Formats: sequence, structure tokens, C-alpha cells
Amino acid sequence: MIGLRRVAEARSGRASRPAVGRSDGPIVTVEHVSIAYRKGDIERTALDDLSLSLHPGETLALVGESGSGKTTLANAILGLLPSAGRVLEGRISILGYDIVGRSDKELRSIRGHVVGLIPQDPMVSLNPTMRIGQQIGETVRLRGVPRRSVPAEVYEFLDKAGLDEPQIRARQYPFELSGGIRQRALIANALAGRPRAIVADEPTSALDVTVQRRMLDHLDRLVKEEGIALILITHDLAVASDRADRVIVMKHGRVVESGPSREVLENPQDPYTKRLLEVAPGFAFRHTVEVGSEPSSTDQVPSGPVLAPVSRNASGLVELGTPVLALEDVVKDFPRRGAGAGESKVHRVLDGVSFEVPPHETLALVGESGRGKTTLMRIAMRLATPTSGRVLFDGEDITDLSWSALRPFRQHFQLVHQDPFSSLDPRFTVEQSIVEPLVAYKVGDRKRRHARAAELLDQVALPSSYLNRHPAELSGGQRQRVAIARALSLKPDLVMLDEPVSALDVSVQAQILDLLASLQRELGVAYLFITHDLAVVAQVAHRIAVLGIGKLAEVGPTREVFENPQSDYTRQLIDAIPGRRWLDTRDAGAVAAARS
Amino acid sequence: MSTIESDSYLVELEPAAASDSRTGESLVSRRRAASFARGAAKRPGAVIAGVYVLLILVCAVAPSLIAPYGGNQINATDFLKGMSLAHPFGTDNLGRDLLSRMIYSCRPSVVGMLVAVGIATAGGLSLGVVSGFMGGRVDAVLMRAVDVMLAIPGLLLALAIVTAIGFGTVHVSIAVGVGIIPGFARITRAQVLRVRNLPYVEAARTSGAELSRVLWRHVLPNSWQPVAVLIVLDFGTAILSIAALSFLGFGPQPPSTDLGTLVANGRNYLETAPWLALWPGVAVGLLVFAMNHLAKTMEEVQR
Amino acid sequence: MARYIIGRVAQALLVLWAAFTVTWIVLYELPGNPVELLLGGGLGDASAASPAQIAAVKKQYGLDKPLPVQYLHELWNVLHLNFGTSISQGGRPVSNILAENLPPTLQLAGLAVLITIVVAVVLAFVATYVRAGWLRSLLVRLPAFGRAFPTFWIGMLLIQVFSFDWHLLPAVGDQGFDSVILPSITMSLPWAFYLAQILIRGMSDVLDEPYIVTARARGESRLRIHVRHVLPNAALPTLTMLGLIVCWTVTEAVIAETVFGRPGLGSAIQQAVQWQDIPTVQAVVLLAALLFVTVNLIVDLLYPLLDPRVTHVPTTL
Repeated sequence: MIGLRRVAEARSGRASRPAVGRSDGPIVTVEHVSIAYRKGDIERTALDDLSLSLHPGETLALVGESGSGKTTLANAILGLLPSAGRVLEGRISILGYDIVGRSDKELRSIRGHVVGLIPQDPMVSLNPTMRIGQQIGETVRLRGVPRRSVPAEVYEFLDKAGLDEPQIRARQYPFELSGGIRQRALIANALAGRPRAIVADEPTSALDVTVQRRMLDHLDRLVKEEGIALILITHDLAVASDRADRVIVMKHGRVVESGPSREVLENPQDPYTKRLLEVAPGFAFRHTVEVGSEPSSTDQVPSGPVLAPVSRNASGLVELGTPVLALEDVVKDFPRRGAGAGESKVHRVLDGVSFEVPPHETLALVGESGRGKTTLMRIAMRLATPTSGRVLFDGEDITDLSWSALRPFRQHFQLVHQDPFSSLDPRFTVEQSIVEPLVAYKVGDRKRRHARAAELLDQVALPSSYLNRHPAELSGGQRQRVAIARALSLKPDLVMLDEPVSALDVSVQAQILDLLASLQRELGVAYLFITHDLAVVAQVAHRIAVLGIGKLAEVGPTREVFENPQSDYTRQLIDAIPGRRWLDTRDAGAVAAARS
Repeated sequence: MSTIESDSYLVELEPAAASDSRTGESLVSRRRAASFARGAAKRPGAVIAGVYVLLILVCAVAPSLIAPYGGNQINATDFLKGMSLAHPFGTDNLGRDLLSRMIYSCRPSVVGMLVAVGIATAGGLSLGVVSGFMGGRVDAVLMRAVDVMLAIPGLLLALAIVTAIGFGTVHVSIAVGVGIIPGFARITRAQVLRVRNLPYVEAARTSGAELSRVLWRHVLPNSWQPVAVLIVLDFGTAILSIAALSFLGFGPQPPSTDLGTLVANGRNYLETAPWLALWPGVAVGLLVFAMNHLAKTMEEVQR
Repeated sequence: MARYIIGRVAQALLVLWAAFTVTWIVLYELPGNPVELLLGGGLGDASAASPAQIAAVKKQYGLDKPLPVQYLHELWNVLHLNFGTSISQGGRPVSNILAENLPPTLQLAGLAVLITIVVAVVLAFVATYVRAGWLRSLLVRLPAFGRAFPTFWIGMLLIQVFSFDWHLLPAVGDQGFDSVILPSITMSLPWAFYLAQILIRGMSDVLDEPYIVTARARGESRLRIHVRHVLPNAALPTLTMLGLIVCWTVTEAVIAETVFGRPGLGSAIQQAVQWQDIPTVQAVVLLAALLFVTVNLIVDLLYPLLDPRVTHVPTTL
């Protein structure tokens, strides 16, 4: 124990600019570690015979989907395994000292000073009733810095983390700050311990795409400047490719593949790695091909969903029928509480938005969080009324209709909700959930409905034995399929999908997107697809509408929006898609190779 | 899919379903019983609590079957005797066996408890469901009324009601029951609101379901479980409040007694014969504890 | 901020008025025969009263007038702190009874509330901090067990142990500080346990929050985390219950004063109910409502000062 403490003190007391690339040996070594969680009488293995090492100054990416054990590993390195977790075998060494089985007191000397943490969700990782300056100050104090020097150091770290006006920021409470700023505060908190290594647990997955990129850029820079080793945990292989020197791919607690990132990405050995490569949205979107058009020579064989053909007339122009859904000049104001004198009493969320969803096609509405796309969707679904403007379904004005007047229309447009875990009544069987619309509209009798349920289940590629199951017995992807089947039961003309795949693992996402595309080809249903992820949308949409602040920044066919973005905001969004750096260097290499 | 195909599909399914349902039912109930037994074995505390509650109920329903002596039977020579084989809990100043008196006192206590919780449930449920489901003005008005009721402490409100309508077991239980209604209504309302805002309720609405269908098929079935826990908890609250009022002298009037009255009677002999006040109080406390434990177990099972 | 205060005060007055209305309905309109009650209480016999006497009582209490007038008449009286005359104490003005009995009850109430809060916080803190599984189990279950026993029984148990067995404290009476201790503990224990249960649940929930992980990851000690992060964040939501708990603690005076033979509002109302003394009962109930409203007002005004999320004006850049 004394040894650990001395090591930690020696490290944290060093001068502020350590030499990069000090070859002191690995900072973190994990040797053949297995970890299991105990729940009741059952012990479930979360990590199985895992080994890795982290060297000074390098960035190591741990890539895996949920259940891969990457978070368990991160917790174990910090000595923060919950009481139900147990290290079954193996060693975890920090700077040469084994930390397995050490007391909390001993581990405290490493936490923060030798290994720091940037947690996943900035919205809940800060004490809500304490100023952020105070919280970062605690980290500084724990290094033994005398009280009067603490504020200066806090400002220094806030500045390093990229926050302007550190003096003011320090006095702010978390609830005053956006997700991006909170995450920077957490970065400052991690840096404040002057650690040798930082574990960043999915540091950007809770953030908007444009903010993600800036955050990761900044983290890159900091890590290089301060010489800190970084373990970057992510589910997105594209992110790993941009940022990491080495990549370790994990599945179900085991290492599936590891090596320098270039090698792993160019020559993936394991089929799982290959699959992750295919479905990483940042990569996959490049492979979308519209049926009937020419694949370009640099693209690989398409593996994404194949879109239904857009109807074109004799001269090759796209044919337009009456749009299945049209919004005209929709404005939505919300009353603003606590507005002072002279301030506007309303918060204008939508300021004249217009778009159309053509029949049989997919329009994707892309916007970051807080931009009002949920509000827009609710208006389109007539769950809310616009302050002004019109909503037209199949040419008919449904803007002001009452709930009962809307009912006959509702048969023709349905909704698939964002969260597959709470959009199905837990007490209903799958069959009961699917036929609920039929029951509500009194379509058919019991026999017919049962048959229809089986038919729908078939269409969404679930076995008919699932009819009697309850949502609790299904995975997220399966539940989403049930929700889609329910939406299709009345044979609607339009299905609105509110972030239908964001809560799902990457590989499952791809399956659902495939399913949606094939259903569209088969049934001719139109989709209004709402999402924040531009990369996902590229695989499924014919047309894209980009929602900026209150207005549409851009509308157009998918290919055009990607290849010729008209607005700056769209350009930002496209640039922020992870994986570009690697693809660009790969393409550049291919071109160079072709030339020589 | 052609009609012929769907029909043959149906033909295939129907017979299987029919045979399943006949054998299926007995299978299901047997399975349920087995898993109940397994669950009970894991929770000895709950089993003990359940047994104790049953015991009290039996005492209430058929006291003469259990009590060794009559409720008012005077044994002339045994005044204020402590615990002995003949009188496990001792005797009082008239030589009456305390254990027997306690057993006979269960009935008014249990009756009171049932009446009180009955009133509380009827009032609280209707208020809570209507308020939570309808929302808006109705909700605001009803909750204001509930807030006012909460402003008067339950014990005092019960005292006021008893002042007005008189003393006795039923009067006291009505008073206590009314006092529990506001808290009950609040919690029911919170549950209804929680479920009402869940995505699957909205999904049902957009699927075309009418409000009544949403209420009966989605909201109520998914919100009753925490309310059931609350009902069991309120049994405990009711007993305590009724016992308190009885202790103060407003419960069953002599010669009938309930457990609270017994403690009051024992008060005068606290120094010389403490068991007279001790045991009835322990009985009440254990009953309340048992109820609370059962409620906690129900909550755990639901999760 | 001023608007917030005014709003809360207005609400408080509204609740008071509504409480008065409810009490009035219960006490004056529920009984089948208010006149009989007012003539001689439940224990008296009104059948021998002459028509003149009945008429006099009706006049005195305004029962000969239509309902709305009765109501307003009573409201007017109450607002002038005229609570009528007591039946159980031979015609004494109720306001005198209140004034006389308030101080001893306040003594009890003050100490009881203090004990409630201190015991609850200490119990909850220790129960969620200790690592030994058996000790934690015990401490967490303790409140549930302690709460199950009737207040009056706890009082008598305390008398048995501390007065009769150990001769430490007096069993009855109101002389000196010694006589305040046992009744106050009696009043506070059930609610201390209840508050402890709420706090334990709150603190356990906070311990599962991600920001506790952040604190641990920076190397903070368990004790410090418990004091600076867990306790404040768990205690804040309980403030709303605190108002109620304080009032319920004070109400236990009814029981405690009876058990320990102390004079005070508690024993006064016990006697009043015995005699079905409507004016006295009404007065005490209104006093309790006033207490509730005042305590809640204080909590409402205190809360924003403690929770920055409520009224902290965001610092603009």
C-alpha cells in the first residue's frame, strides 16, 4: 500500500510538462483477467481471460457493443467494480503494482492521480447541487495542493478543457450548462488530477454529432500535449479508426481482435470485426446504392439496404403524386416562463417549416437534439397543434381537426416510437400489441386478426411462436420489429419513425434498416424518418431535410445533399460523421497506388 | 397472401389452440402454485408475517375456538397475577385472563381496520384515478381539496369526526378511514400519471384506441400493483390510528374492548402489573409490522 | 422572488380558510343534534331542557339562522379569535384555554421535533455508510420495526424502564426539564423512524447515481462523499415531507400528554372530545392547521435557498 501511494505522489508532484514518450514501461497492464457478476445465486462472466497493456502517450480504443464487457474493464482498472463484481483470476497492474484485492483506501491513491475517468453521460455525472468549480476543485485538492492555490488551478484546467471565461464557468451549476460544456467540465476534472492515463468511457455518445467531433478533436490534442495515455471506449469502429493508435475489438467479454488500428481496419481477420466495419454508420453510408444507378468504381460491393426505386417519368425526372404528408409554413411557439420585461414571452421553436413526403418514399428529417424535431414530429402526427401553418394528409387539411375527427385519418398514418422498451404494454402479448389498431378500428373478427398478426410477424421476420410472448422476453431489436408490425397492421400509407434505431446496437441497427427498406419495396409505404444521425439516414432515405434552428437548412435528394451540401450547417453535420479521416487517407492511398 | 392460404393457415392453427387451452389451464395453475411455493420458501419472514396475520384473523372470527377462558370470565382468586402456566399473559384486577381478553379484542380491531381501509380505498381510488386520468381542471381542483385535507393532521381530523358522530368501533374506523383518503388519492394519482405518460399509452392512442379502452386495458392494469401495496400498508396505519383513538377512550365502549382499550385499562396498573399494558401493545405492534413486511415483500416481487 | 413569496402566502391563507370550512362542516353540520351537544355535551342530558333554554342556545350559536349565515358568523368569530365557550370546562372562553395550554405543549413540541430530525439523520447516515452487511441490514430494518408500535405503548414502555425500573426520570407531571424528556422522545420516535426510512431510501438512490462514480474516481474518501454529496442531495427532496412530519410529531402531543399526565393542548383536546365539546375541538384543530400552514410556508421559502436549481439566476456570460 505504501508503495502505491509513493508512486502516485511522485507522479502527481511532477512538473507540469512531462516529456512525451517517457519509456517507463506500460502504465496499465491487464493480464488474463476474468471478472464475473453475482446476482442472487447466479454468477455471470463479464470478462473472460482478457489481456492488454497501455503505454505512455498512446491511445487505445476498446470497441464493442453492449454486453461486450468494455465498461466492466474500465471500472476494474479504476478499482470501481460494484460489490456484486468479482475478479476471478488474473492481475491488473497500474505502474507495476497489482491492484486486485486492494482496499478502498489504497485504491484511492491511484484514482484520479494516476488513472482518471471521463464518464459517459455528462448530464448525470456531475453533482447537480454543486458548482462545477467546486467539483473540479475537489480533484485539485486531493492532489495535496494548498487551499489558496486551488482556484487558479481550476481556472487553468477549465481553460485547457476548452471552456471560455473560466472564472464565470467555475461558478455555474451543471443545470445551467449544455451537454457539451458539461463534458468539457468533466474533461477538466479528469485532467485536474494530473493522471498518467485517462479512461474515457464513450465520452461522446450522449452528445450531438457536431459537438462529438469537436470534443474528440480536443481530447486528441490534450492527450498529445500532456502525454497522457488514453483508453477510449466506444461502440463505433469509425470513431476508433479516427482517433486510436491501437484497437481492441471485444465481444461477450472476450478479445476478438487487436492490433494497430490501421491493420485491424484494413485487414480485419475476425468475422465480427468485419461485420462491425460494415455496419459502422460512418462507413456504411458510403455504400448505399440506389437500384438502377451506377455504382462508382471506388465503392465496395454494397452491403447496406437497397432503396426502392424512385418513380421517374419518360424524361427521367422524378414523378410527383400528391404528397402523402405535407407541412406548410408550420410555426410553433411555446410560452416562455419567467420572461422579464422587454423579453419575448414566447419561445419560437419552429419558424416556418415546410416539407413534403412523397408517396412510397422516405423523407428523413435530420436535426440535432433540442432543435425541435420531436415537436415537428408531434405536429405532423397531429399529437400537437401548430401555432400557425398547415398540416395536410393526402391533400386534406387536418390542421385543426379534433381528436375524433382525426380518427378516421389515423388509420393511414402510424407511428413507431423511439424507445422499444416502453412503447409496448408489458402486459400485452406480442399478438395483442400488434392487433390493437385492428381492435380499435374494429377491423375483422378474432380469427382474421389472428391471421393478420401472424402475417405481419412474418413480414418483420419474427417466428410465429413469438405471438404469445411478452415484451420482457424480447430483445430491443425484436421489440422494435413488433412495434413496426403494429404500425403496419392497418396498412397505412405513411409510417413515422422517431429515432427508431438509436437505442439499438450497431449490428441490430443495420438489420432494422434493412427490414424497413424491404418493407417499403414490398408494401409501398412512405416513411418520415426522424433522426439525429446523418450517417444512418443516408442508408434509408430518398430525400433529406436538415433542420437547423427553427427552419430547414436544406432539403433535397440524399445523394445531392451529401455530395453538394448547400448550407454550412449541413456541411458541419457531414464533416462530423466519424470515419472520414480514415476513409480519406485510405482513398488517397488507393488513388496514389492507382497512379503509380 | 390469398384468402385460401390464410384460411388454411387458420385451419392449421385452430385445433392446436383448442387442445392447448384445455390442458393448458391446469398446467398453468399448477405451475403457478409451484412457483408461489418456491417464492415462499425463499422468504421465511413473509411467511411468518402471513401466519401471524391469519392468526389474528382467526381470533377475530372465532375467538371462542382459541381463547382458553371467556373474554369477561372472572376468576375470583387470581387478581393481578403475573405470567404463569394457567395464565400465559397474566391476569387483570378482576382476575380475568389477559390472553383471552386479547383474543376477544381482536374482532373490534379487525373490523375497524377493514372498515377504515375499505373507506380509504373507495374514496382514494376514485379520487386518484379520476384526477390522474382526466388531468387539467378536474385534477387541479381535486388535488387542492386533497391538500386541504392533508393540512389537518389525521389524528385530529379523526378526533373531530368522532366528536361529531359519537364513539364506538365503527365511528372510529370511519373517522380513521376518511383521514387516510388524501394520502391514498395522491399515490393512486401519481401511479396513474406515470402510466398515462408512458409511450405505450400514447401508442395505443395513435393506434386509434378510445379513451375508455386506454383506461381499462392499459392504465389500470399497469398501475394497480403499487396501489395494492399501499392498501396493505394502510392496514397497518389504520390499526395504529384506531388503537390510538381507542386508547384515548373513543373506541369500543365497555364492556367490549379492542386492543387499544386494553392498553388503556392497563395503564393504571403500570407499576404493579406492567404486563397488562405490555402484551396488547406488542400484539398491535407485531400486527402492524407483519402488514408492513408483507407490503414490502409484495413490492419486491413486483420488481 | 417576491411574486413567489406572495403566491405562497396567499396559498397558505387559502388552505387555512378551507381547513376552517372543513372543520365547520364536520363539527357543526355532521352531528344530528348540535343543540343537544351544545347544551350538555355528550355526557349531558338535554331532554330536560326547556324550550327557552333550547332557543337560547340556538341564538347563542346562531343555529336559528340559515346555513350560509351561520357559516359566515362563525368565520367572523374565528377571525376575531373568538372561539366560543367551552362545554367541558364550564363555560370558560376557549381562547383562554388555548392560551393556557399552548406553552407546555410548545415545550414538548420543540424538543420532539429536534429529536426527530437528529435521530433520523444520524440513523440514516450510519445505516447507509457502514460496510458490515449484518449491521447495515439491522439498521435498515430498525425503523420499520420501531414504527410499528403504537406511540402510547412506547410511552408506557419508557415509563416502565426509565421511571419504575431505573428511577431516572419522572413518570408524570410537568415540573422541570426532566419531565419533558420522556414525553418528547415518545412523540418523536415514530416519526424519526419514518423520516429515517425516507432518508435511507433517498441516500441509497443517490449512491447509485453516476456523479458518485465521478467522485469516487477522483479519489475522494467514502466519508467525504457521504457527507458532501450523498446527504445533501438526498435530503433536499425530503424537505417537502419534513413539513408534514413536523406537524405529525407535534400532533402526537395528544397521546404523550395523556400518557404522561401533562397539561397541554393535547390533554385539553382529549378532554374536549370526551365531552363532545365542539368549540374547543374546533379551536385546537384550527391551531393545528395554522401550524401546518406555517411550517410548510417556512419550508417553501427555505427550499429555494437550499436548492440552487430552483431560483438560482443563471450567470450570463
